[in-house]
Amino acid sequence: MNFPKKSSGSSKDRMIAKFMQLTATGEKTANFCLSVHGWKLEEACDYYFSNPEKYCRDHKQQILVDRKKIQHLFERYKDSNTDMVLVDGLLRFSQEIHLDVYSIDALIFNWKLGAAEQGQWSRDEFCNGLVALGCDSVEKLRQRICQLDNDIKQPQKFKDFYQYAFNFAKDTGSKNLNIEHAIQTWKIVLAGRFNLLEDWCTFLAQHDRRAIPRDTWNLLLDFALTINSDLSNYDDEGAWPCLIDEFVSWVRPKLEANNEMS
Amino acid sequence: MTYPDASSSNPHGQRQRDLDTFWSDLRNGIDQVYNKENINRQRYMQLYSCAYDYCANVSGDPNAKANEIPKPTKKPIKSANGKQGARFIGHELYKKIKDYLEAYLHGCRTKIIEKDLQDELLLDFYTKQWSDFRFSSKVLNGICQYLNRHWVKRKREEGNKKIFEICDLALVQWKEHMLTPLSNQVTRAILKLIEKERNGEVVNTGLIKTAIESFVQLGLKGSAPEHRLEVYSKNFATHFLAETNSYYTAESMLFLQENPVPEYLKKAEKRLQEEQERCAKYLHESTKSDLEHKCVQVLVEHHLHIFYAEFQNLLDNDKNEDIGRLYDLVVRLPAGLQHLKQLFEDHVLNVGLKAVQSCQESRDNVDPKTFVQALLDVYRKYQDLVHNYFQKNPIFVQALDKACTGFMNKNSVSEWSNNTGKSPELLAKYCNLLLKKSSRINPEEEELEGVLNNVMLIFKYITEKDVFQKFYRNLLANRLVNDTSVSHDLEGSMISKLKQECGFEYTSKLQKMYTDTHTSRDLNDRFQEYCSDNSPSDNMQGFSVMVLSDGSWPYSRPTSEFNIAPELRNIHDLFSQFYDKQHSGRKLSWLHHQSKGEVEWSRPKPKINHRFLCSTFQLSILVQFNHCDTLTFSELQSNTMIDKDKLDQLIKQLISFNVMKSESIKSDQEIQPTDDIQLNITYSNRKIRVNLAVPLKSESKQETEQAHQSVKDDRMLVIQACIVRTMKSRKQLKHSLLLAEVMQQLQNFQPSVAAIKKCIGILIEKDYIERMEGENDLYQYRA
Repeated sequence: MNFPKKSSGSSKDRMIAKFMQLTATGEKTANFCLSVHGWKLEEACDYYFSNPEKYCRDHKQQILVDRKKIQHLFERYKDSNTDMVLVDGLLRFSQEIHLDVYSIDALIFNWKLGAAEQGQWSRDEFCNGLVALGCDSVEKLRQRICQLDNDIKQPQKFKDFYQYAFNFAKDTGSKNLNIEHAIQTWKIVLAGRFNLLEDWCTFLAQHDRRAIPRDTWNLLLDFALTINSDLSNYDDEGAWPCLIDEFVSWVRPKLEANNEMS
Repeated sequence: MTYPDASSSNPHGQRQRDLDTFWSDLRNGIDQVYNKENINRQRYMQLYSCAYDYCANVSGDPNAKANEIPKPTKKPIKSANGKQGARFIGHELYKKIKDYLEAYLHGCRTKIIEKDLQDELLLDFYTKQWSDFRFSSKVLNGICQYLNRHWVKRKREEGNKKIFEICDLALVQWKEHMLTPLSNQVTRAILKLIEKERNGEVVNTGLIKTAIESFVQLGLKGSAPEHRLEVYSKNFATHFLAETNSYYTAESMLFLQENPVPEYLKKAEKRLQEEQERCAKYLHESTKSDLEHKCVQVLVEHHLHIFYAEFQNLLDNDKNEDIGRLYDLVVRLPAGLQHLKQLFEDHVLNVGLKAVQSCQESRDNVDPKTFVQALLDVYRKYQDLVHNYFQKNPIFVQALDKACTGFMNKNSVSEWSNNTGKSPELLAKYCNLLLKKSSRINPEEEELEGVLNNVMLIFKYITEKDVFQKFYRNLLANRLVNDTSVSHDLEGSMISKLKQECGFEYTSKLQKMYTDTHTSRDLNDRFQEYCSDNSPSDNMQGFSVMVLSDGSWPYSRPTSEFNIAPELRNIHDLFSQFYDKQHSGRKLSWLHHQSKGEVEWSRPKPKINHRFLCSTFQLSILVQFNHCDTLTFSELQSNTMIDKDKLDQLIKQLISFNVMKSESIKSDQEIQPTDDIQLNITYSNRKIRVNLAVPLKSESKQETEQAHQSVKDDRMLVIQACIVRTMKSRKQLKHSLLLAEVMQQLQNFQPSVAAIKKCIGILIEKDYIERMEGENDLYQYRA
C-alpha cells in the first residue's frame, strides 16, 4: 500500500501519532482512518470509536484476536452451573488482568463489554467484548487495561459511558438508583471532572434522599460540565431537577463563606 | 431727467395742492377721532370719501410706482381725472397716518414721563389710553377702509409684511412707541398688583385684565400662530412665571417652617385653586398649564420628601381628610404617586398583620369569627380610604389588593402553624359558624346574606382556595347530614356565590351535595308511602335516610364490617328493597359511621326515662344489653363486628359517660377480650335527652391535619394533571414557558416552582414527558 501524499507533511505524521495515542491503535489503522475522513483528527477519532473494527488495519491486532482463545478464557472463569461468569470468576479474572474492580477502569471495562448487570458477564458479552477490545490473552488484556481511559476521552463517548453507569449501578428491576450506589458511582465516574463532587456527595449523604432518578443522573453531568465552580452561571430559573436546585442553595452559602475566608 | 419731482411739474403741483387740502381735512377728522369727539354719520362719510379722494388723486412717481400696476384690477374705479385709470396709490396716505400715530403716541408717552406715573397710576393711565386708542383706531380703520382694501391688500399680497391694515398699523405703532419703551414699567406694575392680590389685598383686576389684553392683541391676529403670543409671553408670561416661582418658593418654605404639614396642605390646595381662578379671571389661557405646572412644582414637588414623611404619619393617625388632600396635591405629579402607593401598601400590610396578631389568643387557638372580622375591618377601612379619598385610583386599588393578599394569607397565624392554608381553613370554619344552627340566636336571613357577602370579600384574596374548598366541603357535609343548616336557601346562595367567583368546577361537588339533600327528602316521603303500603305493621316514624352520590361527599365507603343491630335490620332491609325498585342498577353502601339513632333508656324503679341520641355504633352496642346485663368484650365484638380498636374506644367513651361500667377496665389500658362490661343501671342525668354522639376525642384535631395533608397531596396530582394537559396540547415546550403556563392555569392555589419541578421530575420518571436530547430545557410529550 502506498500513500503518495505522505510528502505533504510532518503535520500528517503528527496527526497519526496523536491518533495512535488517542485510540491506542497502530500506525496503519491511524493512517487509514484519517485518510478516509479527510485528515480531520477529531472526526476520525469519533468514527474510529464508534466502530473500531471497521477501521482496524493493523495486522498484528486483527489477526491475533483469536475467538477460540477467547472462548477458552471464558471457560476458565465461567460458573460451573450457568453459562456466565459470576462474581467469583469475575474477581479471579480481574485479579489476573490487573483490573481494580473499584476503579473507573473496571466500569469502563464493563461498558466496553456492554455488561447488562453488575457482577456477571454472559458468554456473548464476554466474547464479543474481548473481540471489540482486540484482546485474546491475559497479557494483551493487561496492556489494554492501561489504555482504557482513552476510550472515554471523547465527550460524546464519556456521556454514553456516564449514562451507562446509571444502568449498570442500579438494581435490576428498579427504575431509580439507590442513594448509596449513586454516591459510590459518582465518586468513581466524576472524579476529576466535577469540581463540586465532594460537596455534592456530602450533600446527598446529609439529606436523607430517596433514590436518584435517571433524569437527575443525566443532568448532573451537564451541571458538572457546564456550571462554573463558583456557580456564577447557574440559572435558578433553569430547568435543573429539584435535587440540583436544592444542592445549589445548600452549597452557595458555603462557597461564599469560603470565599470570604480566603 | 432722472429725478422727477412730483411738486415741480405743473399738473403735479396742482394735484399736490389738492392733496394738501385733502390731508388737512382728513387730519382734522383724525384729530377728532383720537380726541374722542363725537362724529356723526355724515362726517364719517365725509372723512371716508376724503381718504378715498386722497388715494385716488395721488399720482406717485411713474418710475417708482410703475411696477405697482402691472395689470388692470378686476374692479376698476373711476377716478376723477380718469387719465391713468384706476391707480391704487396709498403710500403717501399710509405714511402720513403712520407718522400721525407715532406723534400721537409720543404725546401720550410724554405725559407719562411728565407726570412721572408709576405702578398702579401708570397702569391706570396705560389701560385708559389703550382702550381709547383701540377704539379710535377702529374708527380710523373704518375711515381708511378704501386704503385697506386696495393698496394695503395689494402690498400684502405682494408679500410686503411691513405694510399693515390701518387697524393693525395702529397696534404696531403702539407696540413700538408705547409698549417697547414702557414694557418694563407696565409689567412691573402688573406683577406688583398680582402680588398684592396674592397677599390678600383687593386690587382692581380690571386694570390687569386690560393691560394683559393689550399684550395679547399686540400679537396681531394676522400674524403666524406661533408668533401671535410672542408679545404676551415675552413681555409678561415669562416674568410672571418667574415671579410666581419665587413668590411661592419663599412662601411655602416660610409656611412649612411655622406650621404643621396638614395646615400647609390646606394652604397649598387653596393656592392652587386661587391660581386657577386667576388664570380664568385675567390671564391668557395659554398660561394656564404653565402656571399650574409651576405652582405644582414649587408647592408640591419641592416638598415631596416632607409629604412622604407626613403621609406615613397621617396614615398612622387615620387622618383621612388630610390624606385625601395630600393625595389631591401629589396626584398632579406624574410620577408622584408611586412612592405614596408603596407607603400605602406597606402600611395596610402592617396594619393587617398587627390586626391578625392581636386576635390570636394562643398558638393553636384562633377564633374564626374574630379572625375574619379582623381581616374584614382592615380591608373595609382602607377600601373606604381608596374609594373616598383616592378617587378609586387604580394604582391604589392595586396596592390595596396586593397588601390584602399579603396579610390575609401570610400572617402570624399561618406562621405559627407553618401553614399558609390556615386562613382559608378559618374562613371556612367561620362560614360553618354562620350557617350552622346553634343555641345562640342566629341572625336574620337577610343579615346573614350580608355577612356571607363579606366573607366573599375576604375569599377573593385567599390564595389557597383549594384549602377552603376542602374544609368547606367537609363542614357542609356535616351540616347537611346532621340537618343543622340554618337555611337551605342560604346554603344554596353561598354555593352560587362561590361558583360566581371560581367557576363551575370549583363548586360542582358542593352543588351535588346540596341537590342530594333535596332529592333525599323526596325519597323519604316516597319511602313512607311505600312503607304504609307494604308493611303497615312496622313503625317507620322517625326513620330517614340520605342518599349521597358517590364521589361528591367527603366520605369513603366503609372498609370494615359491621353488624347492624337486629332491631334495625328490618327497616334497613326494607329501604334497600325500596331503593332497588326505584333505581335498578344502583348500589347502596351504608355509611353507618355517619348515622345516628335514638335509644330509650327506661328503668322501672325508681322510674327514670332517658333518651340517648347516639351513633349507630353506640346504638348497636347498647341494644345488646336489652337481653342480658353483662357481656364480655369479645362477645360484644362478635355481635357487632366492630373493629377491635374502634370498639375499645367506643366502650371507653360510654363508660366515661357513665352509661356503662366495668370493674376490670382501666381507661389507659387496652380492654381485654374477657373483660366484663355492664350497663350502669344507676345512671342518672338531669337532662332527659342526652347526646352521646360526640366525636371521639382527638378525632377533630386529626381531621384538620388530615384535611390539610390531603389538600397537599391533591395538589401534586393537580399540578401533574395540568402539566400533562399542557404538554399534550403543545407537544414541545420550553421549561420556563411550561412553568408560566402551569402557574397561569392553576387558579385555586399558587404552586411553588419547586413543586412544579418536582412534578416534572415525577412525570419524566413516569415517561409522560422527556427532555429533548441536547436541549435540557425543552420538554417533549410522550404519547
